[in-house]
Amino acid sequence: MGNLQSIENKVKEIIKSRLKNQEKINNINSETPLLSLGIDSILALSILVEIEEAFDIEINDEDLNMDRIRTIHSFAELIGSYV
Amino acid sequence: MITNDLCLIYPPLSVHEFPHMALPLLKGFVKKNGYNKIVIKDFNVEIMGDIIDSRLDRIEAYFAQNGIKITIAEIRKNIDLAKNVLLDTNKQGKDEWAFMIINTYLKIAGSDISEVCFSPACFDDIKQNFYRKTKGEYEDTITKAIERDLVQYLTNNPAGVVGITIPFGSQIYYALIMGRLIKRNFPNIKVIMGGAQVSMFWRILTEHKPFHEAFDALVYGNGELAILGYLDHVTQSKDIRDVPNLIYINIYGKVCKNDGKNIGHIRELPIPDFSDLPLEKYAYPKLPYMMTRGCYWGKCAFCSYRETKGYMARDVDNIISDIEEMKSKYKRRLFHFIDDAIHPNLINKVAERLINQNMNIKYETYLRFDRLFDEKMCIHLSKSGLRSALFGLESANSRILKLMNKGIHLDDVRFVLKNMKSANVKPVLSCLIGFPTETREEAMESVNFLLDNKQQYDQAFLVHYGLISDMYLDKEYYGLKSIDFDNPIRYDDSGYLALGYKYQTSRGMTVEEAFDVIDYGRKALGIKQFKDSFFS
Repeated sequence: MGNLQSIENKVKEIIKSRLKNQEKINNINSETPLLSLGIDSILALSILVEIEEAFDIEINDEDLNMDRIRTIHSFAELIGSYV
Repeated sequence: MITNDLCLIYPPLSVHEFPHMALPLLKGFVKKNGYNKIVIKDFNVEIMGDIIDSRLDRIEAYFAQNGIKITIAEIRKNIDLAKNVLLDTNKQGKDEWAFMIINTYLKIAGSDISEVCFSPACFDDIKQNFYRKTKGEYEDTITKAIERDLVQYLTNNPAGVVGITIPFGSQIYYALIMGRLIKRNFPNIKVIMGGAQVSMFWRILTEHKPFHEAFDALVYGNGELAILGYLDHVTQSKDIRDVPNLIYINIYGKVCKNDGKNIGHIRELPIPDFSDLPLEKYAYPKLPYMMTRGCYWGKCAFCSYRETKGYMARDVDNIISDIEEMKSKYKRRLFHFIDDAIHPNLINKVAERLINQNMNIKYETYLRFDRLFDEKMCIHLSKSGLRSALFGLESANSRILKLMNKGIHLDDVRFVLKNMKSANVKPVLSCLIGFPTETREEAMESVNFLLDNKQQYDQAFLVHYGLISDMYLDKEYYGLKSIDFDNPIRYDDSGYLALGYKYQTSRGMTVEEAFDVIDYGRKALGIKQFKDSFFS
């Protein structure tokens, strides 16, 4: 799970599996704002466990703000700093 | 089977975030004074825990509305993980995640609580339902749980005296139902009730005769000496007229109110005894503690016990040894200091010791906007484990602050907020809207202050002013036109259930106008309000 692209793909896969709206699933890309998918801070925190388990990491509180996880790309960058 | 001298009961329905402090403190005090057979039973934690657990589908639905799939099993897993984080010293980097998960889930699952409990709009509703229950015309899941568990519990754990505390308005009805059930099934048990609601509304409880079926005596103010004296009266036939803070009906049917008396010093109160409580069932693995009694300011006009409670503080050595003992005995690292307001110098000294002794705890508390909270002190407090502090801002209008006798200035508010925020402490602000004579423009100053300073605090509450203090003694000064003392009402049905005296004002906003500002302010500030939820 080393490079950013593979991390990004995995994050995308997890988030897609969580979305109910097919149109959103089809249009999702690395720069799609998570908020536009309906993922606000509490929703992000609720699916965090799955992300952490997938990468075997624990993300600290100070990194958990919506600026650091604004898009799938920025979320992947954050995860990359832990793996 | 051992008969307990005293069984202390915490009735439904209220939040179950962490144990309520009153009964563990009473148990410690009464035990220290010679009565060893005392047991505490928290019926609320079981009932509220079951209610929340049965409503996790609301969280699932909330996510679904936002287009996200999450299962109830995952929600449950998140809650368990969050609780474990808050228990584990090595997981402190995840505390905020855990707090956010538990807090939000409680608010969502606990919304529309009146669907499962009796939710009185006024005290007369309580009187009516108390009567309807007798006739078998009213039933809910909570009364069913009470009937299922209470008689069985007291059969298995007999007691000479049962003490029921009523700190919140949502517990009044169920406490009365419990009292009546006890007295009907166990005529030899004496039932005594106390707590904030009894202190405020004892007149109504004594004047409405059907309620007499639910208690033998009531306690106003602090309960320690009253409970001790009442036990002496029951077990040693001591004169009931000598029991301080006691209200009872004598053999002639007359309501008697004994004089009040406080303990000499807070150091007479031993460490609270939580050993009877199922600590794992509370929403947060957190314990309450109180290092002071009363408020060092004690002058706010809206406060129900201003200038009557007295202010006492424990010694720092005593505070530190209590925290150490609670931490090790109950394996908890989170504390809620439930003091009315801790003086900056005291909390600073406590912080010093927490740091020097490497206590490694986190705590939340209530503070005043005091200029002593400078940058250095705030950093110090943060380092000692202060996570968040609730401040009563109440108003951002200088006339209203003065009328409230709040004793704070907006410059101090900005100064303290800046220092707290930069020290990584989360300030939480509470603001009262609709204080008598307040105009819409003055109330909007508060809303605008909160909007302008949004980066400086973590959370804000806008709550409606409730008349529960002695402001009625100076009606003209506060612009109070008429007050109904007989039937306290619930003005705000969006949060926890609080009853206050119904009033009209001769100037300023009406209650309806105040709620317009509250609704506007909550929306403007992005305060996510879950309807009818006790959790905030």
